[in-house]
Amino acid sequence: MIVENTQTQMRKGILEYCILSIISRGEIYASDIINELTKAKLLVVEGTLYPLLTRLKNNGLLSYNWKESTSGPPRKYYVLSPAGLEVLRRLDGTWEELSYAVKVSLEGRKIEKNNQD
Amino acid sequence: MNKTIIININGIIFHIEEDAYEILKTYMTEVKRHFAYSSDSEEIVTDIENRLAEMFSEKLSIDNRQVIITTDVESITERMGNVSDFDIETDDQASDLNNGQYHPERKLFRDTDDRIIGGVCAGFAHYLGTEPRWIRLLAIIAVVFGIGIPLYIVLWLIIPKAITRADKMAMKGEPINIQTFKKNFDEEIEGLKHGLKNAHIEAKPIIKQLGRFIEKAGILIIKALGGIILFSGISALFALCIGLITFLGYWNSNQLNIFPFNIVNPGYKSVITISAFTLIFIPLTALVIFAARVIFTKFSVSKTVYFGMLIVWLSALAVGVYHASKVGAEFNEEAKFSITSDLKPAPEYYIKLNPDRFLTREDSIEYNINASDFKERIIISNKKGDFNQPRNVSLRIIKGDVTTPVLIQEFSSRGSDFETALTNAKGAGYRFIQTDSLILLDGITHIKKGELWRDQRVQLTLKIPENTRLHIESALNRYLEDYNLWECQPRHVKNDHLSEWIMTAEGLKCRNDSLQNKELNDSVQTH
Repeated sequence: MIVENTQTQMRKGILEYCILSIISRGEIYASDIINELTKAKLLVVEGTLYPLLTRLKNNGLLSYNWKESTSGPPRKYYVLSPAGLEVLRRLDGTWEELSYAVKVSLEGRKIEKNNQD
Repeated sequence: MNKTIIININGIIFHIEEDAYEILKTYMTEVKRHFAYSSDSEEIVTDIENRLAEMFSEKLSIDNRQVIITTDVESITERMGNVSDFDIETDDQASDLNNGQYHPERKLFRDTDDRIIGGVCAGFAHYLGTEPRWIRLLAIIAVVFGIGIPLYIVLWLIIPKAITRADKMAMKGEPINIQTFKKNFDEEIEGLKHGLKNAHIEAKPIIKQLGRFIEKAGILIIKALGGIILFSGISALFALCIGLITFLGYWNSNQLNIFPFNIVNPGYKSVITISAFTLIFIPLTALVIFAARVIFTKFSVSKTVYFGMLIVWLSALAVGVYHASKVGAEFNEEAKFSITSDLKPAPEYYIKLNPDRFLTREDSIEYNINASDFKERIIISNKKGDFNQPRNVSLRIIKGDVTTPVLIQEFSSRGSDFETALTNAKGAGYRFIQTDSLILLDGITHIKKGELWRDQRVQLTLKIPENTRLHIESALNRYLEDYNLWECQPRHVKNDHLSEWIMTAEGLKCRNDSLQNKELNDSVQTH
């Protein structure tokens, strides 16, 4: 239970950072974000993404445009706002620090490769 | 072959199988509930719906199919994920709601999967969270006390059967969400497989067989009851039709001159008869249809027919009420006129009720009556009793101012206006016969043949000089106003007993003082 909780906490922060950086590459459709995240094994189900995107949009980090689709209804394409870019830049810095901290903390310790997740 | 439903997700039309639809609907309800407390619930839900629609379209175009089936819904909702996996980004309130087990209220349904007769007991057991056997025990006790069977039938009729999976889950109080839904579905499939496998190996438990027997017996009893109702209903309808035809002929030919048939104007007779007939006929028909439906389960009548029957019944009621009120209006006005006849003076009179209501030839000769007076009048036999006709004669005996005794006949009647009322009053006839000291009074007012009953009455006033003695027949007591003959005669006398009275300055007095005293003593003793 405690393990799961920590895992969720760790993922929660990283997920947001990853989403922002995926969108920063250019206009992107929600399903493509999902594909990327699934590939990165960060996201299990699609349903998680929508509330997250809505929250980021409400915080002014994202905006979206409607685009016609060849099959089905119009789709939402997400882009990063200037505020989003700023947040991303700061998160990049934070991540640098964090990964350095993790690297230092784990130095001299053998981590078994396990495929638990 | 499967039933499909057409749904519309954000503007795209899908054909979806019924089972698949139920799963999808449950999923969407769960999603909506999950986001209900989030401020952007609408946007998130729309996003998810859009994505589902897109995935369905993809799936259908890849497989080149037209209808969404259960496995499609299952695989796609799996990709979208359970609401429990959404938790990562919802606020605490929503996750609390989701983590806390949501138990909907149990609903009362009939459980036909676990039934003995109609599944009423099993349904109650689910509702109360107990085992059906205890409820059944109670039911058997209720049957012993006599209320069980009708109560069961009523409950059977009013409690809906659990048909859909959602119904069955609501009945058992299981939370309706995608996990339990799948569990329920899988259990059902498992049960079915199991049942199929073992059907020919496993002997049916004796209880089950007994249950089947009771069920069949119950159905048989209900059908037998239905048969009896059906048979009697049809017979009644048949009799009613014959009755209508004969009645119309009989009544219109003036054969029926007893109250209340003699108050209806000839022009209204057919209308009133037919509307009365319809008022009885339609509920009877409805009863027959109901009985037929109980017996022949396949027998059904469209709602239009019921509706039509209701309309006809209401129209008949309206027509009946309208004509009844028309007849009622004939009683608006009252008119009176009186005839004063001198009586032959005598020191004493014998006043009797004419026992014979038939005006025989002998009567005419004996009392020297001009037969033309009573020609065509309807005379009612005494044997029929006075209750066929409203009582319409009353008698008052008062002291006369002059020496000659007189009998005043005041005729009164009703009509739609004064003139008709007066005509009606004149149409009434009354007969009294005096032979020396004997005065014979008729008990009723006669109405001319063909005349309608319009509350024709006669008020007789006998004015007698002082000191005249009267012998009044006991039978007249019910016509006599102001005095009670029983005050002047012993108890338990016959109708033809004569009591003796005398006219004084203060009115009639009983001649037999001792009798009056004796009566008084009697009453003192009894007290």
